[in-house]
Amino acid sequence: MGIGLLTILMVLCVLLVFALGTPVALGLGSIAMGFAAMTWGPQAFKLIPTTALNASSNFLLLAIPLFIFMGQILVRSGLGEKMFHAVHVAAGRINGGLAMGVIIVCSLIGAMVGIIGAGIMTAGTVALKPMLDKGYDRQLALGAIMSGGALGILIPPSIPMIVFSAVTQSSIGRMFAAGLVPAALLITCFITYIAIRCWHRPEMGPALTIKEMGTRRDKVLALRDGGVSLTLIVAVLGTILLGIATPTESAAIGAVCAILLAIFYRKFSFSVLKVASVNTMSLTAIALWIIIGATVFTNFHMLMGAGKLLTSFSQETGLPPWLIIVLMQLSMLLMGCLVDELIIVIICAPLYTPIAVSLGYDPIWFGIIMILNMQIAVMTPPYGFALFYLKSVAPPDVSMLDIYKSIGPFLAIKFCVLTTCIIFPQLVTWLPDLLFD
Amino acid sequence: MNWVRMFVRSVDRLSDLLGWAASALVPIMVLVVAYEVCARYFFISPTIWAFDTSVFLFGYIGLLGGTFVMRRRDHINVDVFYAPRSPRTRAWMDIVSGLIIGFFLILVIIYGWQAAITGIERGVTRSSEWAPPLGHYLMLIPVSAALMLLQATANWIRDLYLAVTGQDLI
Repeated sequence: MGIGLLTILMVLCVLLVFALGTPVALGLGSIAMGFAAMTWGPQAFKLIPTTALNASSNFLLLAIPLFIFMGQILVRSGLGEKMFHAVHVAAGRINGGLAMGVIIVCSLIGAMVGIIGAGIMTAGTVALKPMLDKGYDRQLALGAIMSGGALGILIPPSIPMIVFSAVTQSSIGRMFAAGLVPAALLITCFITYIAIRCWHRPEMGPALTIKEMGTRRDKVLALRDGGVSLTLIVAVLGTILLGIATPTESAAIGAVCAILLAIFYRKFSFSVLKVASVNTMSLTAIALWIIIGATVFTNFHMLMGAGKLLTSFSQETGLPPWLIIVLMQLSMLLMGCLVDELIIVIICAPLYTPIAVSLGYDPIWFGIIMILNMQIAVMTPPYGFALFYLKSVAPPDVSMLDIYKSIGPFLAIKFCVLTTCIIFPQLVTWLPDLLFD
Repeated sequence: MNWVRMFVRSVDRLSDLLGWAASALVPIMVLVVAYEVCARYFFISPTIWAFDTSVFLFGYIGLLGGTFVMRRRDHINVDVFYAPRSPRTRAWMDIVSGLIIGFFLILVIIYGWQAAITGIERGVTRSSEWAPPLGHYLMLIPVSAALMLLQATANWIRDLYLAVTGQDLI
């Protein structure tokens, strides 16, 4: 069987398994091994133990449970409330200030943890209700929370970036630095969008009245409490940048700091620790088995010559390099509607990155545009984690349809930033080159 | 039928127990990794054991946790076509899915077992300064796959009962 035909058949089987609702992790493993039995024979099954051992002993991947655990504690620590309170004090008097505050607080949370869930769940539990009560436009509020939370994987630390670095063996430090400018660009665009909408139609995001702002003493206290959150960012990003800790270790330091902070705010208890641990264990198991299943799938596909197939495809068709990059992005956008960002990164990073490099592109740049693409993937229906996280914490009268309706303008902004970063790679490569060369 | 119910219930209980045990390792792993940083930067005496221990803990949490996730049916799937169906149709779909994932899990058990036995016979250790034995970790892979298969079987029996009779088994 030629690799071209094999690939088509494998993709068809993947779609079939997806349609059935089979667990993705084990389904991908089964498909790969089913084809292995037909082509290579049982010899190929020896891939499994090696792949499983490599995945479960990769120290980089330890960052996944550590950051998830930190996020779980943070969501329950009461820190979110304090940060939102501080932002309300700072920006409440502006039209749309609360929604802008969501973007800012979510970015700060994104600088503490490497997942999208922490920001969305914090903002969804703490900030959504006040915004709706105040009469904010529903779609503006929901969209701001999801877009802000999704920044968690673009602002370092970031679990998808860690996974990308782990599977392509590129520098995680460079990846982290490269994410900052695009992240700043996105934050600016989101805030500008909210400002313009609310300036044009103030009823979409009414400002707080002077009475709602509280006394001067309240304000000072709120700002002080909000400032405490910055220590967590220093603990995580600071230790990485100063070379004190690796990204994985910084996640552990961050987790310990989050616990200390929760104790300080008197929100820490055995049940908080228990819930956080159980959730962390579940999410880690989900992620690890997906990594194992998907890596068995890609390893088998690569052994059958998938890399060569794509390379020869790009050489023989004579398409210009930029068009190949665009095609790759389109394929990931399509996948983003169906599967979650981790699976896409695990499957596409080892497949696409070598081709991008052979076409003369910077792997770090390619990784960042992949993450920017994932910003869109997490929000595109029907399958997107940002949507699910928000639904799980939103008040019951917020329907899934409300959430679907809210994504439009924010997706458009993300798409523009993605395109800008593809056209002007310097936006991505400038900062890491400055810091590391 | 009562025996079947008892089997399904016991498997559920075992998976819950395993889940709690694996989750108890999470805070320990956090402390081990954080301790290593402290030991290196404040006590200026890096440990030789923390790195390998934390990797082992990660594997135990992630691999064994798979059983608990299977029990909760939380393994990620694409539910565009799955979610809108009736419970009974979903049960039929799950029966097919069960066969698909069973195939992979059985392979993980067989080939993981072979690799683990070879590793134990050769006395493989981790290639680090501390060099702890790796046998238990190699064995963890087939064992956690077997536990997951056990839970998948219990789920499968439930689905079959629901699909055929239209009622919940328990």
